Amino acid sequence: MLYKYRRLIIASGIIAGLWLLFEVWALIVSASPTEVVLSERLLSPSIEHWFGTDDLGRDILSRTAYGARLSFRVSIIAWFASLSLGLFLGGIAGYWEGSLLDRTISWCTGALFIMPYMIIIIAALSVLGPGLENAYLVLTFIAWAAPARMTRINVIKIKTQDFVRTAHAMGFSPLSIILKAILPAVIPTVLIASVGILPELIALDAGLSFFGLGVRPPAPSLGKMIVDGLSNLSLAWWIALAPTFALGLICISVNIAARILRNAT
Amino acid sequence: MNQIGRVFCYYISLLLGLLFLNFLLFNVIPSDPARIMLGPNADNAAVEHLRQEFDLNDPLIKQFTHYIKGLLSFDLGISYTTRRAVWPDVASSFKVTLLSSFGALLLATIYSIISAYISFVSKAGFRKFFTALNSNLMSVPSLVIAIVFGLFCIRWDLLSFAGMGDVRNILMSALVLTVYPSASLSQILLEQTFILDKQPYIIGARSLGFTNSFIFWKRLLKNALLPWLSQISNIIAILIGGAAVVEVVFSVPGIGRLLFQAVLRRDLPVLQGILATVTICFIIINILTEFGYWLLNPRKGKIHVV
Repeated sequence: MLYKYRRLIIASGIIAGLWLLFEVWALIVSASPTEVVLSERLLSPSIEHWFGTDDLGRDILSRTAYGARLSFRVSIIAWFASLSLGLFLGGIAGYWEGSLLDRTISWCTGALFIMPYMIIIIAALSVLGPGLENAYLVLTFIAWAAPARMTRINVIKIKTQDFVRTAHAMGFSPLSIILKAILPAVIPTVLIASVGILPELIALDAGLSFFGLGVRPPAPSLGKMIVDGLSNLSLAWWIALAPTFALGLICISVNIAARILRNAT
Repeated sequence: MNQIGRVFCYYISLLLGLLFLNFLLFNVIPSDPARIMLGPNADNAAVEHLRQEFDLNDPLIKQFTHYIKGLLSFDLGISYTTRRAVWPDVASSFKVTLLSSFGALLLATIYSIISAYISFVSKAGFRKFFTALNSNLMSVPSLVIAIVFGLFCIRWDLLSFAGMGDVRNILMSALVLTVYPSASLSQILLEQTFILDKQPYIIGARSLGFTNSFIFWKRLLKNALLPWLSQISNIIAILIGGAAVVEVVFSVPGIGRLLFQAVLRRDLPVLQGILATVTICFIIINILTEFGYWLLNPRKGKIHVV
């Protein structure tokens, strides 16, 4: 049992472990991430401030912990929402393959695949206005296309099998066939394949806070911290260092987890 | 012919749909563009005057046809902040971005072919090594690569950091941007060489006594490049998205920098112009890759739509 699901356990362990690390870390750091101490501006790394302080005297380490935690929350929630949306729309499109509904949904996924995500997100958020809620909305709106396409293909493969026909013959409504018979059979494949979207979402989230369109300023976010460090890059290199490495670490570990999962099938 | 017509119609529908969405996003969702332009304290007469000036009181369809007509004559409107036409700025910054993306793609092509060659000829653990390396490189955001690269450049004074728009500046952003397409193209090529390696015509060539390197260059590469070509438009899309961030880091006067400034000033016409230009550009790129694939594929099968 344990051996059979070892890849699943290891992969989810990596993601959950890293997330938990930042959650706990944000709880136990002593320095406040938003408290401005002007007497401690631009301090280089020391025992009190492991990664130094920024141009307003805020502790980089605690800001990084809070920012990474937020980055994890945003991307995992957006991933989950877009996955559910993609599964539902892809299931509908695959079940009524060739209908107007299917064509519309496929057209939408095609349109989303053509454009660079980063530019759509930035344009949409600058119209809707910056903020966390809008960021969730836009990220979900962008990321549903890939799982929807995957679901659609798998549903088309699976819907001629006997258990679906039986459900059909027993007189279940199409919606309950999709939700109760088809989707449970499709979910594992789509879920495993779409863990690969997670690093992309984390990068997009960092990108939009880099453009100042994420969470509003006093609250720390990785992208915003990197922008702040950018103006002091030659003077105080440590400001951008910690958030950059946190971002890289998160993306690479999630990617490794996704790779471990994919080898399982 | 019928196939070609269908593909063309599909992309035209995408183009019109995306432009309509673009129009809706900027002209309908913000409740009053004129009010945004003048700020919350402006008096009503001035707002009304501006609404007249930008034809904001017309019905939606008329505004949309006006917008499309403007696009056809390269008129993307007037910037709220600089009061200049949007198109010349967008065009000049687009040129810089295209130049650095083209450089990045060129480097990526060289890297992907070399890595596939090494792993095909040497057979040892190289394929596994390159696959793992590429997969992890693909997942690192270009923001991270840009900052790390920038820190190294400052440390050792490698390339000029702030020389706006000169060759070294563009080269630097190309070097950072090349990481993602290199990894991704190399990944595809490695997979293809692995699959094609078991094909009868390769086994035949090998049994005739040709060397591995001859087989790679003369027999395998052309076929392996086909799926590579079908992915290129997706890769360019991610490349441009990465360029938006990298150009801000290295202050390259490209599309990303223009976007950054427009977001800071909440300059909606510039944003709309950039989005429209990118849309048109990507529709063209997709049509080109579609037909390029169709031309190069010896089997000339169905053109893939959706």
